[in-house]
Amino acid sequence: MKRTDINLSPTGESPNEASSILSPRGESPNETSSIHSPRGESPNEVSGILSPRGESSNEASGTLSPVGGVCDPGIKHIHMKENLPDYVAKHAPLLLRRGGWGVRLLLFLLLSACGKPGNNFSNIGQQANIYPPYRGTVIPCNIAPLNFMIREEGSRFTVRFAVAGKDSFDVSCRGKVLIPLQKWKKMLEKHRGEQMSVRIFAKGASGWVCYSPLRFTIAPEPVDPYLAYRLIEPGYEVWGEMGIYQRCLENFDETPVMVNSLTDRNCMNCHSFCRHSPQTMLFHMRQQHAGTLFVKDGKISKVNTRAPGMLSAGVYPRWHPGGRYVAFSANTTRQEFHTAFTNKVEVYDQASDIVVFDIQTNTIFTDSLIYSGKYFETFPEWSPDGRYLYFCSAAARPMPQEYDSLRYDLLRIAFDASASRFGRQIDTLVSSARTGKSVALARVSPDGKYVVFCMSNYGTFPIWHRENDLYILNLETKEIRNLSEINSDQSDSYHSWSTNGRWMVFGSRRADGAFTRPYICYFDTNGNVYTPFLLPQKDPMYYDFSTKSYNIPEFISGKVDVSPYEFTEAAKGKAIELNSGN
Amino acid sequence: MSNPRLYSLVIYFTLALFAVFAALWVYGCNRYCILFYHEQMQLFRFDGLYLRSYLGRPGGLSGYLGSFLTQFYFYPVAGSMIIAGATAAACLLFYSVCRACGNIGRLFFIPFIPAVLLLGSFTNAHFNMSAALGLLLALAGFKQYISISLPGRYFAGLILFAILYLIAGGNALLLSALMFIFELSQPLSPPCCPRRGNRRWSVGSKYLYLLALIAVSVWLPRVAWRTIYTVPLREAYFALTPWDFFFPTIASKALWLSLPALYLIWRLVAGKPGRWELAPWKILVPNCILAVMATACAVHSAYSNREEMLARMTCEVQHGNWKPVMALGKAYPARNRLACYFTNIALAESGQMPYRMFQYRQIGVAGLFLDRQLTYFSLWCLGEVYYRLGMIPEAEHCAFEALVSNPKEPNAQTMCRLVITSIERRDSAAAHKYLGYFDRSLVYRKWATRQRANLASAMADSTFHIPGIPTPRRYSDFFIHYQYPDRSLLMLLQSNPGHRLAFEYLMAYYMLQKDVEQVKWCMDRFYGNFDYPDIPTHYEEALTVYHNSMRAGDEFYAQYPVSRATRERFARYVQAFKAAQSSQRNMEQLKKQFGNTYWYYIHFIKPAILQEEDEKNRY
Repeated sequence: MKRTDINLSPTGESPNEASSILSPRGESPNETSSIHSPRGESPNEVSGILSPRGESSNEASGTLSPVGGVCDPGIKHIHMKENLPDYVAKHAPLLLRRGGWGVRLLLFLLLSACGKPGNNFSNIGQQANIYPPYRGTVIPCNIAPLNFMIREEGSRFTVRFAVAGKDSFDVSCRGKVLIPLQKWKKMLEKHRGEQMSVRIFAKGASGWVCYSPLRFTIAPEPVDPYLAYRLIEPGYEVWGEMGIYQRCLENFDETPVMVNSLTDRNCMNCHSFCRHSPQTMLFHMRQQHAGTLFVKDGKISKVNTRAPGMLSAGVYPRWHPGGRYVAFSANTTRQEFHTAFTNKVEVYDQASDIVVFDIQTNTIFTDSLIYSGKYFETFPEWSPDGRYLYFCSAAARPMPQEYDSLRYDLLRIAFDASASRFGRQIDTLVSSARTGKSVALARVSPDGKYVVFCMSNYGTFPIWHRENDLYILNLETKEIRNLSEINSDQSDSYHSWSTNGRWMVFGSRRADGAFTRPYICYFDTNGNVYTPFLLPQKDPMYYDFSTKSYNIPEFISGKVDVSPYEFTEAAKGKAIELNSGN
Repeated sequence: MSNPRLYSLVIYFTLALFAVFAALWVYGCNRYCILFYHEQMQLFRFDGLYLRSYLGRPGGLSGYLGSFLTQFYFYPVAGSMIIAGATAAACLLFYSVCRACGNIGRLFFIPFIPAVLLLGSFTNAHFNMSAALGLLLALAGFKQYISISLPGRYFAGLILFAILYLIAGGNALLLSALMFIFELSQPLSPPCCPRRGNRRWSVGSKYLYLLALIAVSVWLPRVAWRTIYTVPLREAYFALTPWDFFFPTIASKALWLSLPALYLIWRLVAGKPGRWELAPWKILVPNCILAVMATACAVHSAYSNREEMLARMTCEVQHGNWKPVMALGKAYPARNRLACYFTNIALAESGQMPYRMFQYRQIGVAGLFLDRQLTYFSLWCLGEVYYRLGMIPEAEHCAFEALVSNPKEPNAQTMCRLVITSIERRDSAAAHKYLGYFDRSLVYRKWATRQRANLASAMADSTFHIPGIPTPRRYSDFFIHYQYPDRSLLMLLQSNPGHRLAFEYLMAYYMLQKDVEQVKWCMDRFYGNFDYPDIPTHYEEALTVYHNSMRAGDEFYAQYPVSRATRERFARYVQAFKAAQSSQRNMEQLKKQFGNTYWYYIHFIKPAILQEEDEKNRY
């Protein structure tokens, strides 16, 4: 038997064993013709005759297991010798009439066993229609089960999860596949770097059918254990209940970091973590409890980050990796509503600047190169080494009159953390004059090699721009590429790197155009990105009945242990005013 | 006591009459402001996620069951019977609780008091079936409690409190209060309880229990608040009671307070011997009279004809029934912006705006368009005019904002609109998303099936249009400014010169602004696009004003052939106007004769204006 080593070829080409290789799009090159046993052996190697547990038929009953069938692209019926469950199912009425209580009890137990595919089944050379539409991709070795709904005809379904020749388990259901957490975790943990196949058997009027398997590659690198996001209905001017939540990615536990029902339903936003640490974070409170809540070493403080002369209190915060500084944008933001355009709303800045808050001295400082009336500077981001500040900038224009001519460049400026000083030169990394597009939300990879950013036709608020896509800039080659592997025809934005740089989470409205959902994708060491998968939920129908958007999903390395009530107390307290600084 | 069967018979008969009255009152007088309103503000679904959305809050199970029952308000007869059933159950439960301590038949009007208060509370928009169920569960729990004998009762009391807290939230405090009163008023060797204790309990154990009960009542909600629910402390204690409502009414607060108060009174009265040896009719008749009086007082104070009329107008507009809307608009007894707004929509939709709009109460442009206030009802109603004008994206925008601002859950009213607008926009993904909600609903499933068929037709045929739905209009994109709706109408007319509704709204806007120059401009610019047989009455009236104020020559009437009858009538109006300056009687005469003309409006009606945005373009 051939070993199924991980091979994450970006092109999807198969150097030797195609069955174990996924393209970035998640397609298996020979998906329709590959043959897998529950253990992953090819039928040529095991003569295609396996028991349900994968043993050779010579050793077992001499019948074919469901997964031992030949997976032709079309449907091929294979008639086999009747086994006991099939016999029982066929003759149940007779046995019921004539059998005693013992026979009836036995019959009941046997009929229960008939919920799984027997030996008569047909192979369908296509994948089952499932929701969420997982199509097979690279998944973290510590991710929660990818529960899903089967949207195919069938009274019963059996789903077989198998890793090449070593492990398998079945889940029987009526359409909602709820994968046992422990079995799933055990399988993923044990088979890092290997490929898992998911085969779906459906029982229809004419018996069992088997769909082509989905294939997931289990990445050796884990994803951060928690994901933080804001849940909010994507309204424009109004909001109902909202909150910042943290979700354990290793299971389905979701707990609130803070909810606005505790603070008179005010708005809260812009959560940010210092190097993914749950111990060092901040977020803003608005309206009656306005201020920025900082958590550092378990202590909460509320600060009014608006210095005299600033356009607004700080927004779009990004922590300097050293944990001492936070870069903010200060903006005069407005919005207008389109009446007949694919984009419903236009959010724009009439002015914006970048400032830096020094936690140590409780002061705000800036530089004329990032705080200028002639330019709109916004969306700050630090390099992982803290030596550069990346930001977006556009020449100031009258707004909203020229809203569709406003395009932002991606720039960076050197920063000396020890002296709290910026360099005197600005590098243009992405020029809107060259691309004809507008940049937003740059995020530098933890290794400092790449910058992933949003680009839309114009403007500053990518979430409301359907045409917005994610792009990647290679800082060594200066090459810019559309991440078409993960982009959709709806807005894809709010991306964030994992601590190890192998995973990226981003928000996308691809499902229905209205509600942002978090998608996670794998990012290999060569800068290739793979088909994203939707954040799994315990109930796979969850997203169908949720009217909340996932705002600013960010990986965090652990759980925020400050309770919402502690935040509430701090939020309702008085904000600390800034010391007079620069 | 003499003849207990007679008492029971009279009580049950009175209760049956009360239930019938309650059902008729809800159906006949509160069909829209209770049944329609509550049904539209939610969308019950049969799925685990929906149940879980309730269980995250104190009293979640009551909330869920209340929503389950509320969905049947969709059928008004069923809805009124459910409410009548709930009020009768409150009466019956309290009656049986009181009966355990004495012959409540002697004062049987007492159990009717909570029932009538409950009936009156239903007219409060924030009082729903969930709150009523919580209260009924508290009464049922208490009934169970007093049927348990010692020593188990003390233990059961604490368990009951905990269970009821998890099921019915703050209503557990009501149970606790009732249990407290019961134990305090209970003699150490209870003489009249259903199951008498065999052992004599010491005073110490009783007071220890009462202390424990108080401690648990204070402690359990707080613990649940810290560990189970992430909600404000007030909600943790008072969920599903008036003390957690947005706008609690006196009736709803009185309802909750009345139960322990009445029970305490009854406990005190029940123990008094020897005063009840009267003929049954001398007891029953006053009781019946008191019950009827209590009912009459409660329904009289709770009923609001205006609210019912407005709720009905909302419903009829939603269903496109214009005649009842106009009739209600005419009958509405006050100057109300919403009534005027709905009436104008109905007038425009039925083609009568240019002919009859001043026969109805007008309050200025504020009666044509609403302010954009960020509340559910304001946002929902604001979108109606855009929907009717065929500005589907704008109607969808308002519906979505209303959906978001609804504090309860995605509700039927907004979701139905979102389904329709998504289909009209050929947004299949969004339509499927919203239809998914209705697939899990009992009462909307068939509607959803029909809309799926419409969606399929719309996706297959770009010219398909859902029958009975306003025709979607195509127009160039622009930024909408709610405080200047005339700009939107002009943009709409530029792309759709033949859009009669938009034209009539624009004309009405300028007329109500008393800007006859703009009226003339609008006539010049757009009137030729329409095939009115003659110039509509109100336009003629406006043109005569223009002619008079601008001192235009006879060539003006050549361009706009205002009928001789209108011109003569105007002359009569001018005379009457002059005469009206001198006496009040003449003024009344003027109003009687010309109150339904534009001339009268322009001289005598002070229009309300659209509010300026206080926070312009807030974000």
